[in-house]
Amino acid sequence: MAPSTVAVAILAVLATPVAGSTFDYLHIEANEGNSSGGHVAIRFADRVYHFQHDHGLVRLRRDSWKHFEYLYRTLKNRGISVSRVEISPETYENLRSAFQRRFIVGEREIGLGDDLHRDTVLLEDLLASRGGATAARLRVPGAGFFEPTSLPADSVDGRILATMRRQVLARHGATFLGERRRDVERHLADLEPTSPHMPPPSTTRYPSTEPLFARRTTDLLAAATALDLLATPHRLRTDRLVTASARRPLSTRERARLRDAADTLAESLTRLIASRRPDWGYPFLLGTARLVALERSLQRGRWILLDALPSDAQALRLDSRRRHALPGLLADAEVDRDAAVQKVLAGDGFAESEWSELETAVTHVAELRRVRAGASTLRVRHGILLPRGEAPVSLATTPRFHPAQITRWLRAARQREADYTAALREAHGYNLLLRNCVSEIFRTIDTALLESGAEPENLRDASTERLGGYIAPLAGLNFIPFVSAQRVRSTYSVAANVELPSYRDYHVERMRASEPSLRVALRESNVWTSTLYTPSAEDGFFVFFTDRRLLLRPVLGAVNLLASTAESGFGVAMLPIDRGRSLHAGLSGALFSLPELLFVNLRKGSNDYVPTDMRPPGTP
Amino acid sequence: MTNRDGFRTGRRLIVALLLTAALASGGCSFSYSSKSSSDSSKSSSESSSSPFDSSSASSSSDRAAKQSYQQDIADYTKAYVISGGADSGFPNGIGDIARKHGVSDWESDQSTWEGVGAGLAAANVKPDQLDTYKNNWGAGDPEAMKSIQRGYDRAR
Repeated sequence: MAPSTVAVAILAVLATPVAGSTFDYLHIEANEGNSSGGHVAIRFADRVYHFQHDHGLVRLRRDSWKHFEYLYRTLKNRGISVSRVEISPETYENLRSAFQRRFIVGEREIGLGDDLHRDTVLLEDLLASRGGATAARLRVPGAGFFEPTSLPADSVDGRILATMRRQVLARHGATFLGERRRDVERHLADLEPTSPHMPPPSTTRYPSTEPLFARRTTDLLAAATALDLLATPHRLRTDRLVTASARRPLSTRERARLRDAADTLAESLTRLIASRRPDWGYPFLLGTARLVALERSLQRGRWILLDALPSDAQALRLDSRRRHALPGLLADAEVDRDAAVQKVLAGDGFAESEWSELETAVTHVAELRRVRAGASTLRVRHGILLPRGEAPVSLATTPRFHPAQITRWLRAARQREADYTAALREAHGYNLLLRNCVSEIFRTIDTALLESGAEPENLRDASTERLGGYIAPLAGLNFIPFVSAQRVRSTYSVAANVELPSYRDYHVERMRASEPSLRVALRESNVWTSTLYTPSAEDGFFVFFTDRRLLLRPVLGAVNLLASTAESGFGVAMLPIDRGRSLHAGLSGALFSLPELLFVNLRKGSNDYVPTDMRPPGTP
Repeated sequence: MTNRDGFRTGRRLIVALLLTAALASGGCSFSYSSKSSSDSSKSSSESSSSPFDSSSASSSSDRAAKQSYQQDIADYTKAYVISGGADSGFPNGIGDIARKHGVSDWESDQSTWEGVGAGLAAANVKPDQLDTYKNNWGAGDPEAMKSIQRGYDRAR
């Protein structure tokens, strides 16, 4: 297909599916590492749902189409086959709602498992501290924004916090803070683990529970920290701050906008402190830290914001292969930052989601600049971030339980956690043949049809009426991603099928339009001369791309196998120096060369980063 | 053997090989995210398996971002009501969803309450039951209660 035709096809399909009347079934080609069996997903408007194999479970993920496409097609270099299915608006809403609910339920179930684990850890700490080994401490969000020592009331931060205190008292009365503090202390004194009813894992029922022990303790300690901050001002920690730009002072317009944001934020904080929500402490501490940062910005004439990256963000060690991407990453991050600044400037009041976006964007820029200046690790985390400001807080104010009592609670907590983990595995455990990324999509479609009135015995008819046909989740070879895509094409009411070529295929086609095909084929056939591939740190070792070389594949695969075996031998010698990196690359390369001997290609090569101007049309 | 038979045999062979490859390596995408924790930033609902993919996805418009947030709140509310959840657990779930949209003080954001109203309508809550939800969840805040009503009316 000529590049122009490809481009037209791409643009046609990248137009968002008409919300309310179509959905897309997506088949993503295999590649080494992340998904060597291929992958499937379902797209409703801008949202893509797909089941991933996550620590032994099948977990439903949700991505924006833009992010999904960039990740799989451009970075992972995997072509995507799109089948657009026409349905009625009612069926669309039934299906969308079923996937969305399964996503919400699944996320909460994972969160509940984490809450149970936190209960166990907290009780272990409490038991250890009663034995005198350590003082029990709990990491509390918001507690780390301010320095632990108090500061004079006439300092800048002290004046801001004193003003906040006056506003709170003016709004809620002179005795409010004292009463609020006593209320928090009373709840802390009453704290003890309960035996919550744990709803069995499900794909449809939201697992509603009372907040668990560690969560209640965290919420109360955050509230106590917030009240302490108003009683005794502390300085905002400078190591929790990032600066947008040191070069240009704030303009008059920017100053006016920041003043408006600060005033609105202060007003909402005086309301928040009286909230009935149990977890008001963290948002209050976060808002107060933001308020102080805003006032500092106005005072110093430049954007000063909270560092949005959490303490457990992935710290990526940058070798020379990854460092080459820094200029492009920084340019992208600066574009994001400028857009976020403009969004805030165009608004009014304090729109928190926009502010979080700004903090996230400014933090990414600051982080990349820090690395460009010589730092060896880059902290990364995707998505809009809320600064967490976690710090350990002593549990000295919680009740002192008898060690025997804690031991009993701990035993019960461990049992609860183990039972719930086992129940999750029973309900959602990954199984290549019976419960995988394909089967769960069609099971969720079945659920949607049943909930919209279809009888189990008439499921096939209902599916045929609404989707054009029926695809059984476990029939035949449906569990194989590419087979399921063929079934969709031949069974459902498919209005269009479009192939979105991978990043590499897209560019090879373009090159062929302007250069002799043989030259392009030879140059782009291997990792040494290819202009489209910089070996990713995550790829195994190989020499030839075999994804578009069916007849030559066994021969090229044999060369790949020999080369990767040699690399493995080299890796053994390098073990003390590179900590097994070459050996891993060699073995991985050999493993993914084996299918090539049998004409099967899995490996496509992947990218750590692709510059904006090289991304296929429609990608961000 | 005819050409057609040969083609079929070849196709079966390829399917068998792919099946073998899938069995050997495990089908479907793997998630490399660590086991999520109650720290919502860690239990990210979005998958990301590229180390450099840390963009803030900030290019969505205000309107799209607000719609996405409201839709999530509405879907959560519907799921919660249909599951018969206790009132005390409701705010924590709202907080978890709001955090993923960069919102911590969700009570101040009227989109939250409109989403709650839309979710109640989607859960087929009758108008005469609506006041109970408004009182319990709207926390006596007249603005919040108005927004719940607005979201409910718009979605019905």
